[in-house]
Amino acid sequence: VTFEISKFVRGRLAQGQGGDEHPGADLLNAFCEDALRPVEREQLLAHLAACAQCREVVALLTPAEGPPRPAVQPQRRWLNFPALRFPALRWAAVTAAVTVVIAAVLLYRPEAPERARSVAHAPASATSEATAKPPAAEKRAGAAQLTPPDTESKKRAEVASAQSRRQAALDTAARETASAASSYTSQSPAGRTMAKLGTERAAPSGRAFGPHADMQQQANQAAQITAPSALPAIGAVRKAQADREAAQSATAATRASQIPGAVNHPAAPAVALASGPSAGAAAVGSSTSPGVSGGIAAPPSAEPAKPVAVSWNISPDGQLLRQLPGEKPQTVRVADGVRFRAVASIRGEVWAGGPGGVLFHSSDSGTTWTEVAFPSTQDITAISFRSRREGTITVAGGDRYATHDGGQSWLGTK
Amino acid sequence: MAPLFRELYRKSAAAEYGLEEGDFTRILAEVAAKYLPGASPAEVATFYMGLRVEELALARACMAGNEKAWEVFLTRYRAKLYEMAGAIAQDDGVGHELADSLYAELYGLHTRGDRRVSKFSYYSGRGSLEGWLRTLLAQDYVDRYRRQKRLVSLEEKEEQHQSFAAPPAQPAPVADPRLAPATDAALAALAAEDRFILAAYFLDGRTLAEIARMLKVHESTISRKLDRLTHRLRESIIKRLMGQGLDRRAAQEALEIDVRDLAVDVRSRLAQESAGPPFHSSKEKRSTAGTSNKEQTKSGSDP
Repeated sequence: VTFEISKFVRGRLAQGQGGDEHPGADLLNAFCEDALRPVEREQLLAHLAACAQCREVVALLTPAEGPPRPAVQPQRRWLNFPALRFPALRWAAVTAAVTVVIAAVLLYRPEAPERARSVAHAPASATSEATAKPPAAEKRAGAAQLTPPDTESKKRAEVASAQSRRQAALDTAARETASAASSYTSQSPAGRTMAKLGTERAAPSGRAFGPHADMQQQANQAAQITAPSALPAIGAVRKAQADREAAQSATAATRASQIPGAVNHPAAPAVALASGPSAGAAAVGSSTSPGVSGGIAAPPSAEPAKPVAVSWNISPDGQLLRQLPGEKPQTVRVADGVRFRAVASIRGEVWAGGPGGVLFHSSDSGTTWTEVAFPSTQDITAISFRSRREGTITVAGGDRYATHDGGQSWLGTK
Repeated sequence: MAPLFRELYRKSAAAEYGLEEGDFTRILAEVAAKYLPGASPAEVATFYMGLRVEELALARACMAGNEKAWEVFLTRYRAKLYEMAGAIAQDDGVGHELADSLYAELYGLHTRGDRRVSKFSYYSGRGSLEGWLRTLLAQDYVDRYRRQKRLVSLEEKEEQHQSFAAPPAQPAPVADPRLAPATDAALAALAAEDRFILAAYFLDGRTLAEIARMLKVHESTISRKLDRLTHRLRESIIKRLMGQGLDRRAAQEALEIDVRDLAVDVRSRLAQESAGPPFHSSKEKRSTAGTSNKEQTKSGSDP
């Protein structure tokens, strides 16, 4: 593509010269590193438009790019499991999961319609439990939102997440067993006795289907006594259902852990560490309805918040400052121990970077943050985005990295 | 502002190079006074936070002759300096010469009173120290290149089978006197970035990719801008000419006149050997010896 202007215009363009004062090297360098204020950039461009010598210097400072560096994809967390790094094993895991689900569905339908109904009701009751979350858990979750996260809490979150998954599976199994037992108690006196016993044992905890192991054992015994012939099928259904719920819970936990605001957020440990029934309820709640679980993880279908006209800055100690119109700047917690050196925002998309190539991105004006894989480990010193997708990041030493797809891949220049 | 100065002083590690907190505060104040005269405290604080204080402290300590600072500077930048100079000059010999010359200026060739005048005093911490050094090398290289370009020997010309015959006299057609002011006004009405793009593309012959890199945008953005600019500029000039009494056809014809027919030495104009307009933001005046003179090239003898 070529562009043409009249030769006369070209001549007049070339004539617009005068003066002999050039900008200093620090300003030209700051221009190349995107470190000028808008006013200064405008002034410098005005000079460059009329000074071939300075344009030549700037051209020398922005040499042609080298070979494009490989795009850096955000690392998937499930790939952290060494066994799942092999494609064959990943497919095997998927196949096994599908097989279990199909088997569960096939076994579940013809065997017992009543049980099917009772099992189908289980998630609903779990959801209602989750919705009616105890005030203590809510309070802890709320406090967690205001408390800065730390690495210890992250570990606790992982442990507690596993506990909550186990707890969810146990709860489900216990509920199913008791439901199955209740459907048979009307036919068997022994079953009624054992069910009563189970209810009495469960009564002190205030829950009909407590998460404790002894209650589950008791309910299992009742089921064994009342319907020994149906046991294998029921057991398989229970196991499949428990597996499904555990998988859902794990998915929710993974989803929560993929959002840095939630990863480093003590909300997850706060919920998971709450022992007893409330912990079970919160964990099940997060598995069935992530959006209800005290803001641990935003629901995947939730639309990002509308961009607000906010200004961003970095405090002297490297904290991110957000200032709404007419308000004082407020510190925004992104991740523990991270000190920022540069921030840029455009239409609600905020990018903040700091030492060691740490880069965070928020697409909802700083409400939630995602850590972005960045190809350099050098300190990020300047960030500039011209649109939601196109931006440039400068690191210490002058290297620049450009993205044209909103940070999914980066192209480096020396 | 005192806590901020303290924090920046701590962050800069200036104490390791023997700089007192008071001295460092004074340096920061000088930098702010240079670039932000009369700014509000909040603006100044934001400005301070964007400075490369570690590298600023290193540069100023080197300027003061601190041995440890020089040691650190040489360890970090010596190899890079030669590498950068070689990359700019595309020639190892010239690159070494450039780097050595810069070293001498950084150390301080001249004295003012009893103190050496080091080029480090111009570094303000606004960009990286490495980038600043690269810019100095590039400026030096461009200065040398332009000086050498003017000093083409007669033998060289003869070797290239070029003659110094006077160009044949041509009749000088007269352009519409209203065209020049209309064009100048249309150009002046453009944004600085637009004028920069026009100059880089039409005068320097830069490619779209090169301009895009200079402005940190995508190549297609420059392409779209150029397309829009050329059309807008033409329409603007025609409109101005029509405003001065020409009809559209006459305005178009006046615009299409070949500048060579006007006896305007376009090549010399395009070369833009003269310097740009004064840049008032900077107090630092780079030596423009040899470049402040108007074009000396015998453009008529160029092929």
